[in-house]
Amino acid sequence: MSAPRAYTDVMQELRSRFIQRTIQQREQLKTLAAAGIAPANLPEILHICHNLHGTAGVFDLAEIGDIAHQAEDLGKILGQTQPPALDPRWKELAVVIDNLCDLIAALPPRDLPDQA
Amino acid sequence: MKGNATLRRVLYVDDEPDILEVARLALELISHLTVTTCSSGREAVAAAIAFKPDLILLDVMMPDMDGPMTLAALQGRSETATMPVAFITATVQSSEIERLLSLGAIGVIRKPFDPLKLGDEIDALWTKR
Repeated sequence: MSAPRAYTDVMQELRSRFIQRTIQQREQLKTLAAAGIAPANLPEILHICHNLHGTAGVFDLAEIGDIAHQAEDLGKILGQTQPPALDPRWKELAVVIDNLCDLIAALPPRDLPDQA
Repeated sequence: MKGNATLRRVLYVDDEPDILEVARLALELISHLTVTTCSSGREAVAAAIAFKPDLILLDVMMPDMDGPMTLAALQGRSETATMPVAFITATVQSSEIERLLSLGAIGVIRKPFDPLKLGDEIDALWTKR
């Protein structure tokens, strides 16, 4: 289906804004990860990953959505389980978050919002 | 019992502003529907009463009042009790989908959705309800 010009123009603006916000969320994730992926910051991590999971694919950024999905699923399990010292999956979540941040950082220049 | 023969008015409830804007854009410009949006379950009940939608699209995971709670609130008001509701969720587990349908929703749309196909998807749900 070919979309009308008005749709594609606005969609491009929305996509650009979403990417801008995703870059900010990456910074939040990096800060949380630097403090240590732990039960205290799990709700915030889950919130960001849930948002990216549900939204990235709408803007043709499915790979980011998929990794965010992986982090969200893992985070939900860890939210009901033992503390980090007793469950090695917390380290796994840290790795997934790291991969997600790398993926966002590697967005090709054409995907980045116009800085002008 | 069916209301209008054609789906015309949609209320979309989601706490993610990007998704709300994309959905509105697609449903208005591609599917030529009249759309109103709100960002919380609490707003949704008042919006449904005022807007009288043919269909309500309800995000499942929202802070404060989530999708199922909002559906229960809609079902508890005489003005909105019979309005068709479809959930929108990133969940893929079939048990969760079945649970959502058992609450009285006419269907479940998966996130992320394809904006260009969203209108057809909701029209199919609305038609077969």
